[in-house]
Amino acid sequence: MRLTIACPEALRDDANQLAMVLGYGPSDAETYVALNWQDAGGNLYACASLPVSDTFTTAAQSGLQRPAWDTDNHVNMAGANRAQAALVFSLTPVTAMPDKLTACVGDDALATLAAMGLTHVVVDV
Amino acid sequence: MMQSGGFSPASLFAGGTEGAWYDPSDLTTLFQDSAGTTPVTTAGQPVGKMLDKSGNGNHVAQAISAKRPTYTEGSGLAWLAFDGVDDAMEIQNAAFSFTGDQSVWVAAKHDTGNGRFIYLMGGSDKGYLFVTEGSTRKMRFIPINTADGVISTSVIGTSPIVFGGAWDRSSGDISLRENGVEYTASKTPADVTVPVVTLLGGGNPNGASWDGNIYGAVIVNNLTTASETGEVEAYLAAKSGVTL
Repeated sequence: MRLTIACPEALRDDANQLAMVLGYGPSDAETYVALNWQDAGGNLYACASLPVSDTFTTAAQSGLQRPAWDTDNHVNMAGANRAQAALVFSLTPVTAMPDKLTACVGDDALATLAAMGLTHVVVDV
Repeated sequence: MMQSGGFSPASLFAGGTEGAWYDPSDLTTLFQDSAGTTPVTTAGQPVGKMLDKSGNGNHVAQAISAKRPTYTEGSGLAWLAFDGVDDAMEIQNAAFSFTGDQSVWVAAKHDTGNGRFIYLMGGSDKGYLFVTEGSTRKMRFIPINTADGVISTSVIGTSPIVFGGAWDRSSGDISLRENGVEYTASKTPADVTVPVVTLLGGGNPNGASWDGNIYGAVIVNNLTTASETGEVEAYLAAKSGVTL
């Protein structure tokens, strides 16, 4: 299944810690960077979308463990836990909120973001 | 490594010509991780690294798990599917830039316009190459970041298209081709700053990602002959199911 995640500006740092715990290495600290989506209230979000397994969604909602690769304590586990506490996981699109890390299942990532009430912040080239 | 019809893009890089050749249908070039240790074996897997088949070592990779495109198959074709949110591949060789003339092709399918400017191939500041105009859903070829270095197609649909672009640095002329047909007259940009191409499928400056498929791409650091151009376009058309 495909999971599309909207991370509000205030949760970016913590959400990137969680991304490292659930991901594969320190590069995943850059999962949420560009604040290029916004809701109707003008709140900004960094978004990500990826195919995931049931194992991933279970791990995202279970007790977090420091990843095996993180032998140097690179991950801020307190931040990862804060992000997990703010996680809203839904099998259908729900409205993104500026104090929640909203993760929704949907095959079409852009359609899912639209259903979450988010529009892209256009920057011309 | 010859293709059907006897032509292989490898011939364009004889003698050490700089450039790159990406072929998602060749599973031996695809890896799930950016280090290139776990091969892609089946559809639905993420692609963290795709090898350059030109021999120049200009491989593309994505170190961030969520930003990896997905290897996909269907109707006898294979491609990288980009999600339109954050997927993008980065060229790993920082020294890769166009110091001479350019000939560039990419076979791609664009699913939605979505009112955004989206890179198909390009980088920051200079070297956009191919980018959609969000509001009008046209494809631009922009080897130079100035208004006189831009050529656009008409509105594109959602079927696969083979795009080609060329830049004669000595004359300044640029041209754009769509499915084997030269679309516009040449222009002569005044700015000939060397562009740097770093991205395939999306990225700077707004983080927009290509929403659709990439079936293959060829970048050559010279001007190809008309015969070579036709052969490359026929090759990419076969890879993307396009009828030229």
